Amino acid sequence: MWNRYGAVAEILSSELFRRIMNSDCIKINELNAAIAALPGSGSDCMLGTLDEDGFILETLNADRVCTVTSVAAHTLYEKSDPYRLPGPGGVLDLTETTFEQIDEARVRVSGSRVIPSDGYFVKLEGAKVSGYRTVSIAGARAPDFIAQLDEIIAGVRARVADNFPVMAEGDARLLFRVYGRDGVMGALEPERDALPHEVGIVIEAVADTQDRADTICSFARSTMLHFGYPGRVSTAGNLAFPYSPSDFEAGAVYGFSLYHLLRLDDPVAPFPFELSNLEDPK
Amino acid sequence: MTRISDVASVIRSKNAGPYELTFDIIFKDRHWYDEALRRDLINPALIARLYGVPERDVLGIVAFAPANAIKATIKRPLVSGDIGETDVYGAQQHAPLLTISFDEDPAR
Repeated sequence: MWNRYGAVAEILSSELFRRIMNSDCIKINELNAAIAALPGSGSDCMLGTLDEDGFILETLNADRVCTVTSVAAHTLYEKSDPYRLPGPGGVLDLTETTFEQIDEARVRVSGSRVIPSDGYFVKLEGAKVSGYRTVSIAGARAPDFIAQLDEIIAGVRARVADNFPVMAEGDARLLFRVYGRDGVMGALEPERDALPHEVGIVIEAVADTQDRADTICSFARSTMLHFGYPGRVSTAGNLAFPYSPSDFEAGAVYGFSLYHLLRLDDPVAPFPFELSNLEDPK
Repeated sequence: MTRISDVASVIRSKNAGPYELTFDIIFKDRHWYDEALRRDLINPALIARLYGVPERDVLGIVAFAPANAIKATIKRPLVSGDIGETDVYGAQQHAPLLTISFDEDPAR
């Protein structure tokens, strides 16, 4: 329920914090967000001490300190709006929040308000299986191959489509990721046209069954390996494989299918809590 | 020429939920934060141009004074983790921001 790193932002109101502490589903040990400290790290713990109208944050690692900027900056983290942080039962309003450096390593936060929402909502997230994936990892170093990569990929796609009618029916997908070019940023990459001397290629097939994904990936990989293109001098193979076998079953693929607010009359009813003692002889 | 990487201590990207990608620029001091705001340095047109997306996909730009920070949020090209995803957590999408300089003409 509480995002690991978002936890500091979420408790930026003692009011909400108390509300959480009063609830049955307390889970405050997730406050391991020394990422709000300097130097930042996601691997250390942070201690929060509540007072009447705020709280004090300090790190438990002497090598890190909390500063006004490091703590305030954490309210930005993984959020689109740092002033309004919606949570179950209300919106945390940070417009009047103040951050004070009370000594070299500690910061006091106060002035946050909770604006109760009209009803109690929790976020419902769900995923469903959208297919099965197989990948093949390869590299290429030939300048003419890299220069013509878009045309070569189009050629391989056409050959695969010709052999697997399922591609046209939309029950399978074939993807080529080109690291060194736009493997990281995809459609957002502004420097796609800079020609690298080497590329990493991940060939990926996603289909309705694992078997079919294996077959399509394997066919695409071997087609790309031996694909003839204008000016080709390296006729022994276009791809360098780091592994043999070269293809990997990646299993089920999941996609978001639910992302909704669920209105609840009783906030804890959908989260039943049961305590049992496994050592109890009964 | 003052580059943003010279005056910012943090320039980062991350998912804000599965549908949005958010960028944080945290300036080293109040002076450069104020200067960026005065010039309207981080604006929807600039973000749209840097990422090659339509301006309507730039969902918001928010200044957060307590952290000397400016945040910009865009619509993700794919819902996080969808087939074709390149960065599930969105943590490596910040590089185009490193090219911003204070000579940038915001109207461009």
